Amino acid sequence: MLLFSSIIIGIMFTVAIYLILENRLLPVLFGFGLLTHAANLAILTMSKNPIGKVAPIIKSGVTNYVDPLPQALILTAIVIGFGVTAFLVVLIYRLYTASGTTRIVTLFNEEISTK
Amino acid sequence: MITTLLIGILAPLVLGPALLLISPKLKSNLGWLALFIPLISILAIVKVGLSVYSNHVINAMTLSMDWVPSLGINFSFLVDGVSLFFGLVVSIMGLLVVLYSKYYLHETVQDNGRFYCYLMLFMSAMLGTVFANNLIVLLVFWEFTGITSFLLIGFSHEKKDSRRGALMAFITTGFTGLLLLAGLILLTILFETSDFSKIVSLIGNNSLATIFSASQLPYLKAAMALILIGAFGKSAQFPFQYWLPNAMAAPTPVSAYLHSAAMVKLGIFLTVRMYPVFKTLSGWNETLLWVGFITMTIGGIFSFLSNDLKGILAYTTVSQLGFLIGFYGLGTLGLEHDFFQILNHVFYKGSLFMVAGIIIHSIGTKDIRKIGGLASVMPLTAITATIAGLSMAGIPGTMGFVSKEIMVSKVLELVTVNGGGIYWLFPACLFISAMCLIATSLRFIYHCFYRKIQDSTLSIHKPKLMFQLPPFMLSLGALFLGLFPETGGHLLNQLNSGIHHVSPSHLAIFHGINEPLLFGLSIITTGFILFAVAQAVNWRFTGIPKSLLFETHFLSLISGIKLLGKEIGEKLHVDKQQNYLTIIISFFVIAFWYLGFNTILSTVLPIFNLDYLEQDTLHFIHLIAGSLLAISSICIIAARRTISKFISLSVTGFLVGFYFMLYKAPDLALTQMLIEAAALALVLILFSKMPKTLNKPIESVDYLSSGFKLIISIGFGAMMTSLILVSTLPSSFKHMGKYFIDNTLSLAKGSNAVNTILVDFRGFDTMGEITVLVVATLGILGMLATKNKKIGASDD
Repeated sequence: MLLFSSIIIGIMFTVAIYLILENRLLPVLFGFGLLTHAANLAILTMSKNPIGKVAPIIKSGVTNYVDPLPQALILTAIVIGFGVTAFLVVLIYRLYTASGTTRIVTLFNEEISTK
Repeated sequence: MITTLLIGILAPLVLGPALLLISPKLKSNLGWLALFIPLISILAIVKVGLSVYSNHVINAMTLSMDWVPSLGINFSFLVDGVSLFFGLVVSIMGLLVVLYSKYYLHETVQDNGRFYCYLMLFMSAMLGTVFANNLIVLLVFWEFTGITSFLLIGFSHEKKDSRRGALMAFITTGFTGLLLLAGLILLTILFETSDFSKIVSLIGNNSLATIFSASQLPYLKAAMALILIGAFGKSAQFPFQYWLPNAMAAPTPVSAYLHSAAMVKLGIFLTVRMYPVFKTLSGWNETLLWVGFITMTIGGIFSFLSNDLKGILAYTTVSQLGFLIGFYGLGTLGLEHDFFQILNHVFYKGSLFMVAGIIIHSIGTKDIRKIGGLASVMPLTAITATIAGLSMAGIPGTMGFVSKEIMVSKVLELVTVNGGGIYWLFPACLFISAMCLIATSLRFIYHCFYRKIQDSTLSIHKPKLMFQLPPFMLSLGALFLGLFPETGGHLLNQLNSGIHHVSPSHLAIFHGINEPLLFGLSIITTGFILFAVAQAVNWRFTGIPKSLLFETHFLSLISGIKLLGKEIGEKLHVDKQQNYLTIIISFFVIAFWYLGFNTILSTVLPIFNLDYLEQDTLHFIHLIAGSLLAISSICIIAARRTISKFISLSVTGFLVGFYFMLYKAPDLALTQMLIEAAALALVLILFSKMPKTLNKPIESVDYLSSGFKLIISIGFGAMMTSLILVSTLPSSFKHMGKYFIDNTLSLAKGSNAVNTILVDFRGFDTMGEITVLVVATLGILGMLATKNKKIGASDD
């Protein structure tokens, strides 16, 4: 499961970086969202192979729980990730309504030409 | 006693800005008030000096206050012969310059409050530097002189020359000051103290080679080199001599102060200060000798070739500074009468600068070729200039003569001690520069005052008597010490501070007929001949070749640095976001694979054995979920419309939630699903507000080729995969999770370990998370609340 997960996460990172390197803001936003997912999953793999273990909710007589710490970290990360994504979405929306483009090059060129 | 000293040092610093405040009320009378500030400093220094003076000896005393005790840095000052001498020179000269400025500024400069303020700040910085005992304190004041001198040189900031000169001085002395900082820190590390007096007492009478091991000596040499560069930069030694003539764009009182008594003497001061530390280190004397004599020769020749009144004086200053540095290089033969040499320069050069200021003030030109016949207009200044000029030339009966004779005898001794050879270069350098200085001095005196008027179109107005007084007083000092060198020498020898000969040789005008006298007389004779020859050809050869002026090289260096920066900036395209992201990410990926390829291979490849794969069990449901996850994320790239891209992202998000489920994380799965739903709603609402054009298929107009992007991204993905594999190796880390599992019931009274970590064990992290959300919400509200400032598109 670890090997498989790590390859899947690698693919997700690849796609995320590819999107972030685009020159439009929307793909950058999508890439950012995907990067959050990939990073969360990467942290989750630190709890090793979950097969045969149970969720970290204490019951008498059970000892083989998965590691709860990565889960706690990710829970925080998901929420913060959402906050940042929402901020970016609104930022891009405002940029678009203000300048009429989401192409980064055009945005910067406009900035240069208005100087 | 420390209070008195601090009053002396800090009074100008505090009262200077006060002058600025009251200047609108007092106007030109401000100069009278400003006179009191240097007076306070002089009195304070004299009082401190008298308290350490007994039985014709100055007992060095350190005064200290805590500053940064944790770093061993104290606000500590050293009162000894060296600091008292320089302190008195700086403050007395300051008094005369203020008196002189009162008349100089009267008509030329409007905002004299600013002028006196800068001047006082500078004086405070100078006094702080010369009295500093702690090396860090010394450096702080040293840099402060750099800043205040920048303000002073660039005082007439509306003139391009002023700005250029100020910048040149600032960059040069600032740069060398940084090296000095490095040198002083190195010294502090080597001696394990930053107190100068402690360093000196550590050394005692030992040679540095016996205190330090052979492996430490290179560091000592480095410290010496760095400190010397600092001194040379400030004292305009070769190859830093270019800034001094350019700093002549300053108002003349500033030149008279900075370039005779103050700023440029700091390098000399530092050399004297560091003398007891480095005197036994090989290379110290040699460096001082060579640099000093080269500078002296260059300065002498250039002053002979200049036509600008202040330029002439600037180059003679450069020459004299080289003379002084070189004189310290002769130190193996015994350090004596060095203060006499310095005072000599202060007297005649300060006086000559002020004379130049008077001339420029009353005739309005700096070109010596246009000036003439001023003796009848300003007889007192003519007398002043004659005394000072002859002292600069070193004619018998002046201080300069005595000074030069000491130098000549030392240099000839150096040649005899070292058995001739290359050492004959030193008397040769001395001969050339002294000869040039004589011709230049004679020209200065004769052309300005005694020849007939050259340019009758220039209107001359008579300077006030008080205006002419300060230079006259200085030249009287030069005359006094020249006529009674014995008394003067005796007085100055009281300022002995342990680095000088205990019983210095006798100073006199006439020692009998000996080698130095004959050498000196032959210099004077050739100097007069040189002047006569130059006079015969009417000084047609003057003007310094541009290629020899270091300032052009300096300026091209500066513009070269600017160009280089621009080139690099343009090449990197740092103004385009996705380009620098590309650079950062590719650097990261390349560095990772370059450095870690072998390590990764040796740790990741062994993982793929049967044992590992057998343990790494995989269910069918995992395979399905993972594959879907990969496919849906690839779809984000593959989809053509923005909306389809977004739907793919959303699907990926939900699948991630499912994957969390497989990892036995129900809380995560729940949160992920909720958040994903919220994000989907948010983006869809905003999309409906955006025009349809945004949803058109995205044509490929990317700046970067897709292939390159793909390579970088795959490199990154592979990096993450291998990192995950390495970090989940069985032995790679200890799990902390067990602690939470064990204690969640007993300590946090909750059975869900994830929840108790969030709200109990790490409750403050959750607080932080909530704060982030609040900040993001406020940001969003702010963005949505502001009205559009129309830049291009229509407002919807």
